[in-house]
Parts: sequence; structure tokens; C-alpha cells
Amino acid sequence: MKFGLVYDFRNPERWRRPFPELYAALLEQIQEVERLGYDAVFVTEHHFIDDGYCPSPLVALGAIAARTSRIRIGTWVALLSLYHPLRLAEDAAVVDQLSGGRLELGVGLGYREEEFAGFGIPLRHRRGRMEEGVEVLKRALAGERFSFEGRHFHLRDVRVTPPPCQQPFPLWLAARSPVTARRAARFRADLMLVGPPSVYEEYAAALGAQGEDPSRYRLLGLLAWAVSDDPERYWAEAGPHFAYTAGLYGQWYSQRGDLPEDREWRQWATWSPEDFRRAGMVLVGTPEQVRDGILAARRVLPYDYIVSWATLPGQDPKRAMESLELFARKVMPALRAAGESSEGQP
Amino acid sequence: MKFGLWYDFRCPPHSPLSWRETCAQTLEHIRYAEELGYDDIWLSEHHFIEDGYLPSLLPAAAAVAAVTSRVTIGTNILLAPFHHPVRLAEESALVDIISGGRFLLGLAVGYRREEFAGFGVPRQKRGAMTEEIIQIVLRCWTEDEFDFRGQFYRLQGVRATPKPVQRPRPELWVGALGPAAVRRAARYADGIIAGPEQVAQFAEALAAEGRNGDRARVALGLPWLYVTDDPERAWRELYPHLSYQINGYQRWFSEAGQPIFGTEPYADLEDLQARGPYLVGTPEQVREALAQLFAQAPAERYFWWAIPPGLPPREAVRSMELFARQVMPHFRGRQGP
Repeated sequence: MKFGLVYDFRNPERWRRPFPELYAALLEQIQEVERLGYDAVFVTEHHFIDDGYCPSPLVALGAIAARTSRIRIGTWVALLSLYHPLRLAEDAAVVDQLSGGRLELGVGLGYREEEFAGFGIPLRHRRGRMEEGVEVLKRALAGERFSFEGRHFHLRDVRVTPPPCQQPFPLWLAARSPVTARRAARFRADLMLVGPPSVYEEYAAALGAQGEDPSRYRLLGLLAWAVSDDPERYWAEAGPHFAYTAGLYGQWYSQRGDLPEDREWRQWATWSPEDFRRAGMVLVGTPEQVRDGILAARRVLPYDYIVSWATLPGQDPKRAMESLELFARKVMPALRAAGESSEGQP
Repeated sequence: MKFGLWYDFRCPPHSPLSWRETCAQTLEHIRYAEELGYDDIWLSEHHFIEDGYLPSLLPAAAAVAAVTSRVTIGTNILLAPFHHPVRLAEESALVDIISGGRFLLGLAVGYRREEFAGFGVPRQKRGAMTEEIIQIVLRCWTEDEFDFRGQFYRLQGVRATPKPVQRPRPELWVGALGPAAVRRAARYADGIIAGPEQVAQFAEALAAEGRNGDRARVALGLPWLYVTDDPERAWRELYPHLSYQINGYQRWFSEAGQPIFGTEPYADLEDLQARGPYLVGTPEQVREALAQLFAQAPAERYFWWAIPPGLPPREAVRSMELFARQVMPHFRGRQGP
């Protein structure tokens, strides 16, 4: 089992510090988590958010690549429908070379209407752009010379150079619904799960129907955890930051959700930290409790990667280190040992 | 007067390195350039070139920002028609933030036919497209929210965040080889990236726009500059790399109908020495040649290629050291225009 940390580089008005200071502090934190033995850091993407939510994960990863040497780096997730897929492939290949072959490229559909309007892309084109985009990405990242004639993209005799360092190149698709899960299977991509377990079942079944073994594909999921001997104090400190981030996601999903349950998430926008705590949205506890919680999640789904938030929006990166360090020292070794002992079993 | 080095990250078939090693050594080279006192690090863009000519300037610029602390990091030249203007503005802002306000955006229209065909972008519209791209980038950097209705872009409710650190915004320089581009530069740009011929044109174009032509800011690409204690030997050793480089540009520009390097490839070492754009000389020879050039074509910034393509970056440090130690001090302290 591998452990990743997610960075969104958000800087909310309430807790704002100068952006260069925030980026410098988080880049330092990333070097520190590499030393602590984390397997990967992932950068997210959204546009036009007041708090400066990172809009350019490949640019952030260029800096991260230059400051690290071992840790895997990735997108969770790049909003493919908002890119020219050939440009994204070029950026990914360059970041892969700059990092010495450490990139994990995760792509998703995107959903915020404002983002499509601001980019001048009709929202109704997003699925078509995604379909064509993944096809272009796959061919481009394989390093082949090709032409492509689609509805949205017309490419003639192109080749991404330099090609990525890694071959075959690790491409992931994010899925929240059965349709996106089946698309991920069809493109033979690893899965970044952002929906319920049934979405994974759909993916595994689709892979099976193609005659493929799902266990040969990787599964990544978000499980927010925090290691603390004193959950009271944790929620007092981190609660407002968690409520801020979950509240905004709730608002976005409810405005333009693809799924019926998205509308229910609207309530997050008005939840207090205490509400999130009661709902168990963050696994907060002692090293043993967090370990057991992750093991329980892994009994439900065969996660290869568990990711969690590194620093919540507005949280002091230094304060966030306490939990990150405890997890690395006390939880990761136990989970890795448990992972190894179970891998030989049928 | 600022001195800059220009990087393309190329790794031709005759290089002994992998792309990965080329990237790693190039970042080391850049760090060393900063240590030696160079002012600007410039990154150059092309697409679909077999040797891996850098296609992604902004991710690379962020990597440069992460390993340096003082140099200006500029794109020279970003090929605007292949970039979505909103994404370009966002990415540039991010590099500006990560570098603590050291970013400079240099852009131009591009010329290679293969690149336009490859991306499916109409080449004959490149000037008009670039015009809109410049307008959008500037607005993304400085306005909280705006709509845009142009011929190529229709954008609604653009609220680009985070904003760049530099106030009011990072500098925008425009690369210009032709009169239309010079006029565009005069309309929008803080400065022009060009050759000696465009310097006077730019001042005139600024005046025509009602801007002060005496304040024309210019970044001038020098002939390839290579400082050595032994020019004869350097020519011999560099020849494979230089002929590879110049004949590539000669072909690309010829095919694009802009034969600025002539219509025929450079045949051999002698031909290259006779009519090529390279200046290979001892520190003293280079000082003399530059004193003359600086007088003829005064500019705020000068730049030249850092690494002959194919020569491992680690082996391409001697010239950079000699220039920094024996040529640069000679010109430091002199005021630019």
C-alpha cells in the first residue's frame, strides 16, 4: 500500500498569507514529506476560485520535480476537458523527464460551469473532449508519431518530444460514476476513485468483460486522516479549515452535479466543523486508530494508493506537519507490514 | 545592461546523454549561471522536433524558479498561438509566484509550418490570434473579472487566480522579426525581443503609438557567442553541434518563407565561419566585437545560446565562465539606453 498527499495550494481570504510565502512553505513541506518516506504528492486543479486554488498542476509539479528526487509526483486530477490534450501530453512528458520518470498523470472531466465558460468551451462538449482527449493523450504519451481527426481536435503528423521517460506511461482516469468508470476500463487506465465503492465494482467488472485482470490495475482513493492523541484539540484547530474546504466542494457539486446524490452535498456548505466531525468525514485518532481505519477501508476496496490532504486551506503548514510526521513514523510502517503479509494471500 | 543565457533542452541523436540526464544537467548549468552572475535565464519553445526541443516552457520555468533565487526567468520565445490564453496567464502567474516575482513573459507568433499543421491552428491567422491572446493575458493578470468577445476567443466570467506577484503585472515582451510584429510590440509590450535591424523600427513604431520612442526597451539575441582560450580548437570541437543547430534553423526559416539564415544550408566549417552567425573568440576578441555591437545596437538585455545542442551541459561551462569572469566585468556598470 502506498501513501500520497494532496496539495491544492489554496489561500483563503480569512487566513491569507502572501502567495510566494505559501508556495515556499509548501514546497519545503513536500521536501520534508519526501524525507519522511511518503510515496507520492499529488496536485489538484480548479480555476477562478477566490482563494487561488491551483489552476496549473503541471507548473507546480515542475517546481516540485526540481526540489525532490525520489517521491512520485502526480495530478489528482488535471481537468482534461479544459486542456488541449496534446499540450497536456507535452507538459506531462517534460515534467516526467525533469523528475527522472516520477510522474503519475491523473485526468478527469471537470464539472464547474464557470470554468468552461471562462475557457470558452461549451459544457456540452466536455464528454466529447474527454473521449478524444484520452485517446490523444494515450497515443502522444506512448511517444508515437500520429495524426488525429476528431470533432474537437485535429492533429497532423505530431509527436511529443521529448517523450515521457516512463514507458508505458502511467495514466489514471478519475471516476465518480458508472459511465466514467467504464471509460477508464475501456482506455485501460488506472483508477482514481472519487465516488462510492460501486463505481470501482463497475470498473472492475468492465475490465473483466474485456478479459483483463482488475488486480493488474491500480486503484487510488481519498481517505482524509489526521493522527492526533487529542481529537478535541485537532478539531478545534483544524475544524474550520476542513469545514471551509468541504463546504466549497459541497457547493460546487450541488451546483453542477452529475449524480443524484450530489444535490445532497449542498448541506456541506452550511455544516459546522462539529457536523463534519459527527459525520466521520476525517479519520482522526491515535496511530492505532488511524491504522485500523485504513485497514478497514482496504477490506472494502483493494486500494494501492490512499491519499489524504497534506495541509488544509489556510492551515499553518508547520502545524500540519505534526500529524504528517506521526503518520509517517507510526502508521505507515505498520500498514506496510500489514500490506506485505496480506499480499501472499488469495 | 543585462546578460542572459538561452536554453532549449535539446538532446540530438549525437548527444551521449538521455533526455533525463540532459534535463538534470541543464538545471545544474542554470544554477551555475546564476552563481556566475548572469542576469536572465531564457527558455525557448518548439514542438515535434525529434531532439526534444523544449515544448513546455512554463513547467520548465517553474523548475528553474525552484532551483534559483535571483535570476529573471523569461520565455524566449513562447509561441502564443499554441497556448490557451487563460491557461497561459494562469501558468505565468504561478511561475511568477513560485519565483517570487522573477518571471518575464516573452511571446511571438511562431513560424514553423509543421507546428501549425500539427496543432490544427491556421497559420495565416497567427498575428490576429496573438493579438487577442495578448489582450486576454494582460486582462487575466490585472482584472478581477471580465468577458471577452473576439474572433478566436469568447470567454465569459474569467476570474483568473491567483494573480501574479509583480505589480502591476509581470513584464510582457514581444518577439518581432517583421514590421507587423514590431507594431504589435509597440502597442502592447514592455519591450521587444529582436535582432539589431528591429531596434530603430521599434522606436519609430512606439512613437507612432504615442509612446516614448526614446524609452524603447530591447532584448537582443547575439550571434552565438563562445568564449575560449583556443578559438581554432573550439571551432573544430563545436562544429558538429553548431552545424546541427544552424542548419536546423536555416531549414525551418526557409520552409516558412523567411530565409533569415539564407536559402542554402551551411556546407562545412569554412562556410560556417565565413557567413554563419557565430562569434567564437578569446575573451579579448569577444570584448572588442561586443563593444562594437553594443554601440551599433544598444539594448537593455543581451542573450545567446547557453549550450551547443549535443554537447553535454556539464562540458559546456568553460565559455560561460570565461565570459562571466573576463568579459562581463568589462561592460558592467555601463548604462543601457
